[in-house]
Amino acid sequence: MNNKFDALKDDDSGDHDQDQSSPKDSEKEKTEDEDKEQNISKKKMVVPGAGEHPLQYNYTFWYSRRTPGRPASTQSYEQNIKQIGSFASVEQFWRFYSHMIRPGDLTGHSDFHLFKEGIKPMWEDDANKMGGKWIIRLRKGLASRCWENLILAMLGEQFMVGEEICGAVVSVRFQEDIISIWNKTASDQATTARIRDTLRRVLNLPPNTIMEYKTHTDSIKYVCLLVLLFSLQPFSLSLSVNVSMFTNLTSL
Amino acid sequence: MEVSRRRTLQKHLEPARPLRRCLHVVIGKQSAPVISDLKWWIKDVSLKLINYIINCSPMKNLSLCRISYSRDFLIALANCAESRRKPEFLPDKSISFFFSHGTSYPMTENTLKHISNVLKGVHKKNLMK
Repeated sequence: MNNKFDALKDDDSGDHDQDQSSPKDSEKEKTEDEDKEQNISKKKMVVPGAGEHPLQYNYTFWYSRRTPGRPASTQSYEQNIKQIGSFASVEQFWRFYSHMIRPGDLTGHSDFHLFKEGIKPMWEDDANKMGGKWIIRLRKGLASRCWENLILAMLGEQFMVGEEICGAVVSVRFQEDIISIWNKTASDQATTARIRDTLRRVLNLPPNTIMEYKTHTDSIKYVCLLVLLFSLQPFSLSLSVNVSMFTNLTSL
Repeated sequence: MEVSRRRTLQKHLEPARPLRRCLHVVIGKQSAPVISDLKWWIKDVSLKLINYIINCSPMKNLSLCRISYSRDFLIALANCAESRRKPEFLPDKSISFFFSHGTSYPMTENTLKHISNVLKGVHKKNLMK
Protein backbone atom coordinates (compact mmCIF):
# COMPACT_ATOMS: atom_id res chain seq x y z
CA MET A 1 0.00 0.00 0.00
CA ASN A 2 1.09 3.50 -0.71
CA ASN A 3 0.61 5.59 2.41
CA LYS A 4 0.83 9.33 2.48
CA PHE A 5 -0.47 10.00 5.95
CA ASP A 6 2.49 12.24 6.65
CA ALA A 7 0.95 14.72 4.26
CA LEU A 8 -2.13 14.83 6.46
CA LYS A 9 0.01 15.47 9.52
CA ASP A 10 1.65 18.35 7.68
CA ASP A 11 -1.76 19.71 6.83
CA ASP A 12 -2.69 20.01 10.47
CA SER A 13 0.57 21.59 11.52
CA GLY A 14 -0.61 24.91 10.10
CA ASP A 15 2.81 25.82 8.76
CA HIS A 16 1.76 26.44 5.20
CA ASP A 17 0.60 30.00 5.35
CA GLN A 18 1.80 31.20 1.97
CA ASP A 19 1.17 34.88 2.62
CA GLN A 20 3.97 35.05 5.15
CA SER A 21 6.51 33.12 3.11
CA SER A 22 9.07 34.88 0.91
CA PRO A 23 9.25 34.29 -2.86
CA LYS A 24 12.39 32.23 -2.34
CA ASP A 25 10.55 30.05 0.13
CA SER A 26 7.74 29.59 -2.31
CA GLU A 27 10.24 28.60 -5.00
CA LYS A 28 11.76 26.10 -2.62
CA GLU A 29 8.34 24.76 -1.86
CA LYS A 30 7.63 24.44 -5.56
CA THR A 31 10.80 22.47 -6.18
CA GLU A 32 10.09 20.33 -3.16
CA ASP A 33 6.60 19.68 -4.45
CA GLU A 34 8.01 18.76 -7.85
CA ASP A 35 10.48 16.41 -6.20
CA LYS A 36 7.68 14.86 -4.22
CA GLU A 37 5.63 14.37 -7.36
CA GLN A 38 8.60 12.77 -9.10
CA ASN A 39 9.15 10.49 -6.14
CA ILE A 40 5.53 9.51 -6.18
CA SER A 41 5.70 8.71 -9.89
CA LYS A 42 8.90 6.73 -9.33
CA LYS A 43 7.25 4.67 -6.62
CA LYS A 44 6.11 1.27 -7.63
CA MET A 45 2.44 0.87 -8.35
CA VAL A 46 0.56 -0.77 -5.55
CA VAL A 47 -0.14 -4.47 -6.18
CA PRO A 48 -2.41 -7.02 -4.52
CA GLY A 49 -0.72 -9.12 -1.86
CA ALA A 50 -0.43 -12.89 -2.12
CA GLY A 51 -3.80 -14.53 -1.66
CA GLU A 52 -5.65 -11.23 -1.72
CA HIS A 53 -8.61 -10.45 -3.98
CA PRO A 54 -7.47 -8.12 -6.75
CA LEU A 55 -9.63 -5.25 -7.94
CA GLN A 56 -10.18 -4.39 -11.59
CA TYR A 57 -8.38 -1.07 -11.02
CA ASN A 58 -6.14 0.41 -8.36
CA TYR A 59 -7.78 3.22 -6.43
CA THR A 60 -6.60 6.13 -4.30
CA PHE A 61 -8.33 7.66 -1.28
CA TRP A 62 -8.15 11.46 -1.05
CA TYR A 63 -9.26 13.77 1.70
CA SER A 64 -9.90 17.50 1.72
CA ARG A 65 -10.98 19.86 4.42
CA ARG A 66 -11.31 23.61 4.68
CA THR A 67 -9.40 24.36 7.84
CA PRO A 68 -11.12 26.99 9.95
CA GLY A 69 -9.02 29.93 11.09
CA ARG A 70 -6.74 29.84 8.11
CA PRO A 71 -6.95 32.64 5.54
CA ALA A 72 -9.19 31.32 2.81
CA SER A 73 -7.40 33.24 0.08
CA THR A 74 -4.28 31.11 0.36
CA GLN A 75 -6.10 27.86 -0.10
CA SER A 76 -6.60 26.56 -3.56
CA TYR A 77 -8.52 23.40 -4.14
CA GLU A 78 -5.42 21.52 -5.21
CA GLN A 79 -3.47 22.54 -2.12
CA ASN A 80 -6.30 21.48 0.11
CA ILE A 81 -6.61 17.97 -1.19
CA LYS A 82 -4.42 15.26 0.31
CA GLN A 83 -3.78 11.69 -0.68
CA ILE A 84 -4.44 9.12 2.01
CA GLY A 85 -3.26 6.02 0.17
CA SER A 86 -3.71 3.65 -2.74
CA PHE A 87 -4.85 0.05 -2.84
CA ALA A 88 -5.13 -2.75 -5.35
CA SER A 89 -7.11 -5.43 -3.55
CA VAL A 90 -10.28 -5.81 -1.51
CA GLU A 91 -8.27 -6.49 1.64
CA GLN A 92 -6.11 -3.41 1.14
CA PHE A 93 -9.26 -1.33 0.66
CA TRP A 94 -10.71 -2.51 3.98
CA ARG A 95 -7.45 -1.71 5.76
CA PHE A 96 -7.87 1.93 4.80
CA TYR A 97 -11.63 2.12 5.09
CA SER A 98 -11.74 0.51 8.52
CA HIS A 99 -9.35 3.10 9.87
CA MET A 100 -11.10 6.10 8.43
CA ILE A 101 -13.85 8.04 10.06
CA ARG A 102 -17.28 7.60 8.52
CA PRO A 103 -18.35 10.60 6.43
CA GLY A 104 -21.35 11.14 8.68
CA ASP A 105 -19.01 11.72 11.62
CA LEU A 106 -16.86 14.27 9.80
CA THR A 107 -17.19 17.83 10.95
CA GLY A 108 -17.04 21.02 8.96
CA HIS A 109 -16.47 21.38 5.26
CA SER A 110 -14.85 18.03 4.41
CA ASP A 111 -14.71 15.63 1.49
CA PHE A 112 -13.61 12.08 0.90
CA HIS A 113 -12.68 11.18 -2.66
CA LEU A 114 -12.07 7.71 -4.05
CA PHE A 115 -10.62 7.83 -7.54
CA LYS A 116 -8.85 5.42 -9.84
CA GLU A 117 -5.11 5.58 -9.36
CA GLY A 118 -3.64 8.22 -11.65
CA ILE A 119 -6.81 10.34 -11.79
CA LYS A 120 -6.86 13.44 -9.62
CA PRO A 121 -10.25 14.41 -8.19
CA MET A 122 -10.22 17.62 -10.18
CA TRP A 123 -12.18 18.85 -13.20
CA GLU A 124 -8.94 19.70 -14.98
CA ASP A 125 -7.54 16.17 -14.94
CA ASP A 126 -7.29 14.65 -18.44
CA ALA A 127 -9.61 11.81 -17.48
CA ASN A 128 -12.22 14.20 -16.10
CA LYS A 129 -12.16 17.22 -18.37
CA MET A 130 -14.66 15.82 -20.88
CA GLY A 131 -16.73 14.20 -18.18
CA GLY A 132 -19.37 14.95 -15.64
CA LYS A 133 -20.95 13.65 -12.46
CA TRP A 134 -24.20 12.44 -11.04
CA ILE A 135 -25.04 14.32 -7.84
CA ILE A 136 -27.36 13.22 -5.06
CA ARG A 137 -28.07 15.52 -2.16
CA LEU A 138 -28.72 13.70 1.09
CA ARG A 139 -30.24 14.83 4.32
CA LYS A 140 -28.00 14.52 7.33
CA GLY A 141 -27.56 11.02 8.68
CA LEU A 142 -27.54 9.15 5.37
CA ALA A 143 -24.06 9.90 4.06
CA SER A 144 -22.13 7.06 5.70
CA ARG A 145 -24.34 4.27 4.44
CA CYS A 146 -24.77 5.74 0.96
CA TRP A 147 -21.03 6.39 0.62
CA GLU A 148 -20.24 2.81 1.60
CA ASN A 149 -22.75 1.38 -0.84
CA LEU A 150 -21.52 3.65 -3.60
CA ILE A 151 -17.84 2.80 -3.26
CA LEU A 152 -18.52 -0.92 -2.85
CA ALA A 153 -20.47 -0.84 -6.12
CA MET A 154 -17.64 1.02 -7.80
CA LEU A 155 -14.89 -1.30 -6.53
CA GLY A 156 -16.99 -4.34 -7.35
CA GLU A 157 -17.50 -3.11 -10.95
CA GLN A 158 -21.27 -3.04 -10.63
CA PHE A 159 -21.76 -0.09 -12.98
CA MET A 160 -20.88 -2.13 -16.10
CA VAL A 161 -19.79 0.87 -18.16
CA GLY A 162 -16.30 -0.28 -19.07
CA GLU A 163 -13.65 2.22 -18.12
CA GLU A 164 -16.04 5.15 -17.85
CA ILE A 165 -16.06 5.57 -14.08
CA CYS A 166 -13.39 7.93 -12.71
CA GLY A 167 -14.26 8.05 -9.03
CA ALA A 168 -16.68 9.01 -6.31
CA VAL A 169 -16.91 11.87 -3.81
CA VAL A 170 -18.76 12.42 -0.56
CA SER A 171 -19.00 16.02 0.55
CA VAL A 172 -20.00 16.89 4.09
CA ARG A 173 -21.60 20.30 4.30
CA PHE A 174 -23.46 22.32 6.90
CA GLN A 175 -27.06 21.41 6.19
CA GLU A 176 -26.76 18.47 3.82
CA ASP A 177 -24.32 15.91 2.50
CA ILE A 178 -23.64 15.28 -1.18
CA ILE A 179 -22.45 12.16 -2.91
CA SER A 180 -21.38 12.11 -6.52
CA ILE A 181 -19.92 9.74 -9.05
CA TRP A 182 -17.70 11.04 -11.83
CA ASN A 183 -17.43 9.59 -15.32
CA LYS A 184 -15.18 10.28 -18.31
CA THR A 185 -17.58 11.13 -21.12
CA ALA A 186 -20.43 13.46 -20.35
CA SER A 187 -21.75 13.28 -23.92
CA ASP A 188 -22.29 9.51 -23.76
CA GLN A 189 -25.94 9.41 -22.79
CA ALA A 190 -26.21 5.62 -22.72
CA THR A 191 -23.38 5.46 -20.22
CA THR A 192 -24.69 8.25 -18.01
CA ALA A 193 -28.14 6.65 -18.01
CA ARG A 194 -26.67 3.31 -17.02
CA ILE A 195 -24.72 4.93 -14.20
CA ARG A 196 -27.87 6.67 -12.99
CA ASP A 197 -29.88 3.45 -12.98
CA THR A 198 -27.15 1.51 -11.19
CA LEU A 199 -26.80 4.30 -8.66
CA ARG A 200 -30.53 4.13 -7.97
CA ARG A 201 -30.31 0.38 -7.49
CA VAL A 202 -27.21 0.20 -5.29
CA LEU A 203 -28.27 3.09 -3.08
CA ASN A 204 -31.83 1.83 -2.96
CA LEU A 205 -33.11 5.31 -3.74
CA PRO A 206 -36.84 6.00 -3.83
CA PRO A 207 -38.17 6.73 -7.34
CA ASN A 208 -38.80 10.39 -6.59
CA THR A 209 -35.19 11.07 -5.59
CA ILE A 210 -33.75 14.03 -7.44
CA MET A 211 -30.59 13.14 -9.32
CA GLU A 212 -28.69 15.83 -11.11
CA TYR A 213 -26.10 15.33 -13.86
CA LYS A 214 -23.58 18.10 -14.22
CA THR A 215 -20.82 18.28 -16.80
CA HIS A 216 -17.46 19.51 -15.54
CA THR A 217 -17.31 22.13 -18.27
CA ASP A 218 -20.59 23.56 -16.98
CA SER A 219 -19.20 23.55 -13.44
CA ILE A 220 -16.11 25.46 -14.60
CA LYS A 221 -18.24 27.96 -16.55
CA TYR A 222 -20.47 28.48 -13.52
CA VAL A 223 -17.53 29.21 -11.25
CA CYS A 224 -15.96 31.55 -13.81
CA LEU A 225 -19.25 33.43 -14.16
CA LEU A 226 -19.61 33.84 -10.42
CA VAL A 227 -16.04 35.07 -10.10
CA LEU A 228 -16.66 37.55 -12.89
CA LEU A 229 -19.88 38.81 -11.31
CA PHE A 230 -18.26 39.32 -7.94
CA SER A 231 -15.23 40.98 -9.46
CA LEU A 232 -17.52 43.52 -11.17
CA GLN A 233 -19.22 44.49 -7.91
CA PRO A 234 -17.33 47.42 -6.43
CA PHE A 235 -18.73 46.97 -2.93
CA SER A 236 -18.35 43.22 -2.74
CA LEU A 237 -16.09 41.56 -0.28
CA SER A 238 -12.52 40.98 -1.34
CA LEU A 239 -12.33 39.01 -4.55
CA SER A 240 -9.75 36.60 -3.25
CA VAL A 241 -12.09 35.35 -0.56
CA ASN A 242 -14.84 34.81 -3.10
CA VAL A 243 -12.54 33.00 -5.51
CA SER A 244 -11.38 30.62 -2.83
CA MET A 245 -14.96 30.02 -1.84
CA PHE A 246 -15.80 28.95 -5.37
CA THR A 247 -12.72 26.88 -5.93
CA ASN A 248 -13.80 24.81 -2.99
CA LEU A 249 -17.00 24.05 -4.83
CA THR A 250 -15.19 21.77 -7.23
CA SER A 251 -16.18 18.76 -5.23
CA LEU A 252 -19.83 19.64 -5.47
CA MET B 1 19.07 -31.13 -55.22
CA GLU B 2 15.42 -31.22 -56.33
CA VAL B 3 14.19 -31.14 -52.77
CA SER B 4 16.23 -28.09 -51.95
CA ARG B 5 14.95 -26.25 -55.08
CA ARG B 6 11.37 -26.96 -54.10
CA ARG B 7 12.00 -25.61 -50.63
CA THR B 8 13.49 -22.39 -51.90
CA LEU B 9 10.55 -21.87 -54.25
CA GLN B 10 8.08 -22.32 -51.39
CA LYS B 11 10.02 -19.92 -49.29
CA HIS B 12 9.58 -17.19 -51.87
CA LEU B 13 5.94 -17.86 -52.61
CA GLU B 14 4.57 -18.16 -49.10
CA PRO B 15 4.57 -15.52 -46.40
CA ALA B 16 6.76 -16.09 -43.40
CA ARG B 17 4.95 -18.46 -41.08
CA PRO B 18 5.80 -21.58 -39.19
CA LEU B 19 5.99 -24.77 -41.17
CA ARG B 20 3.06 -27.12 -40.96
CA ARG B 21 3.58 -29.12 -37.82
CA CYS B 22 3.24 -32.84 -38.30
CA LEU B 23 2.30 -35.00 -35.41
CA HIS B 24 4.28 -38.06 -36.49
CA VAL B 25 6.65 -38.96 -33.77
CA VAL B 26 9.74 -40.51 -35.22
CA ILE B 27 11.43 -42.88 -32.90
CA GLY B 28 15.12 -42.39 -32.77
CA LYS B 29 17.42 -39.43 -33.10
CA GLN B 30 14.91 -37.23 -34.96
CA SER B 31 12.19 -37.31 -32.26
CA ALA B 32 13.59 -34.45 -30.19
CA PRO B 33 13.18 -31.66 -32.78
CA VAL B 34 9.61 -32.80 -33.57
CA ILE B 35 8.59 -32.58 -29.93
CA SER B 36 10.18 -29.16 -29.58
CA ASP B 37 8.27 -28.01 -32.68
CA LEU B 38 5.06 -29.30 -31.16
CA LYS B 39 5.74 -27.40 -27.97
CA TRP B 40 6.48 -24.29 -29.97
CA TRP B 41 3.21 -24.68 -31.88
CA ILE B 42 1.17 -25.09 -28.69
CA LYS B 43 2.86 -22.02 -27.19
CA ASP B 44 2.26 -20.02 -30.36
CA VAL B 45 -1.41 -20.93 -30.58
CA SER B 46 -2.05 -20.30 -26.88
CA LEU B 47 -0.32 -16.91 -27.06
CA LYS B 48 -2.42 -15.95 -30.09
CA LEU B 49 -5.56 -17.03 -28.27
CA ILE B 50 -4.69 -15.00 -25.17
CA ASN B 51 -3.84 -12.04 -27.36
CA TYR B 52 -7.19 -12.32 -29.10
CA ILE B 53 -9.08 -12.50 -25.82
CA ILE B 54 -7.29 -9.46 -24.45
CA ASN B 55 -7.28 -7.20 -27.50
CA CYS B 56 -9.70 -8.31 -30.18
CA SER B 57 -12.56 -9.99 -28.43
CA PRO B 58 -15.91 -8.19 -28.54
CA MET B 59 -16.31 -9.21 -24.89
CA LYS B 60 -13.41 -6.96 -23.93
CA ASN B 61 -15.54 -4.33 -22.27
CA LEU B 62 -18.16 -6.57 -20.84
CA SER B 63 -18.37 -7.72 -17.29
CA LEU B 64 -17.30 -11.25 -18.15
CA CYS B 65 -13.73 -10.07 -18.60
CA ARG B 66 -13.77 -7.79 -15.58
CA ILE B 67 -13.11 -8.52 -11.96
CA SER B 68 -16.40 -7.85 -10.26
CA TYR B 69 -17.59 -8.50 -6.73
CA SER B 70 -20.99 -8.26 -5.14
CA ARG B 71 -21.55 -6.02 -2.15
CA ASP B 72 -22.09 -9.01 0.13
CA PHE B 73 -18.85 -10.64 -0.99
CA LEU B 74 -16.88 -7.46 -0.35
CA ILE B 75 -18.45 -7.02 3.08
CA ALA B 76 -17.68 -10.63 3.95
CA LEU B 77 -14.00 -9.92 3.36
CA ALA B 78 -14.03 -6.95 5.72
CA ASN B 79 -13.61 -9.08 8.80
CA CYS B 80 -10.71 -11.25 7.70
CA ALA B 81 -7.41 -10.68 9.46
CA GLU B 82 -5.71 -9.18 6.40
CA SER B 83 -8.42 -6.57 6.05
CA ARG B 84 -8.28 -5.50 9.68
CA ARG B 85 -4.55 -4.88 9.82
CA LYS B 86 -3.76 -1.28 10.54
CA PRO B 87 -1.92 0.59 7.77
CA GLU B 88 1.75 1.27 8.48
CA PHE B 89 1.39 4.99 9.11
CA LEU B 90 -1.29 6.49 11.25
CA PRO B 91 -3.39 9.10 9.51
CA ASP B 92 -4.36 12.45 10.85
CA LYS B 93 -6.18 12.10 14.18
CA SER B 94 -9.42 13.42 12.79
CA ILE B 95 -9.72 10.59 10.30
CA SER B 96 -7.97 7.80 12.17
CA PHE B 97 -9.85 5.19 14.09
CA PHE B 98 -9.29 2.49 16.58
CA PHE B 99 -11.12 -0.76 16.53
CA SER B 100 -13.34 -1.56 19.44
CA HIS B 101 -12.77 -4.92 21.07
CA GLY B 102 -14.35 -7.86 19.32
CA THR B 103 -16.23 -5.94 16.66
CA SER B 104 -15.31 -4.65 13.28
CA TYR B 105 -17.06 -1.35 13.74
CA PRO B 106 -14.45 1.37 14.14
CA MET B 107 -14.78 3.85 17.00
CA THR B 108 -13.36 7.32 17.39
CA GLU B 109 -11.03 8.26 20.23
CA ASN B 110 -13.82 10.36 21.76
CA THR B 111 -16.19 7.41 21.69
CA LEU B 112 -13.62 5.20 23.38
CA LYS B 113 -13.03 7.87 26.03
CA HIS B 114 -16.76 8.18 26.54
CA ILE B 115 -17.11 4.41 26.93
CA SER B 116 -14.24 4.26 29.40
CA ASN B 117 -15.76 7.15 31.38
CA VAL B 118 -19.11 5.41 31.45
CA LEU B 119 -17.47 2.19 32.59
CA LYS B 120 -15.57 4.05 35.29
CA GLY B 121 -18.81 5.62 36.45
CA VAL B 122 -20.46 2.21 36.61
CA HIS B 123 -17.49 0.86 38.51
CA LYS B 124 -17.68 3.74 41.01
CA LYS B 125 -21.40 3.20 41.50
CA ASN B 126 -20.76 -0.49 42.14
CA LEU B 127 -18.10 0.40 44.69
CA MET B 128 -20.46 2.83 46.44
CA LYS B 129 -23.09 0.12 46.77
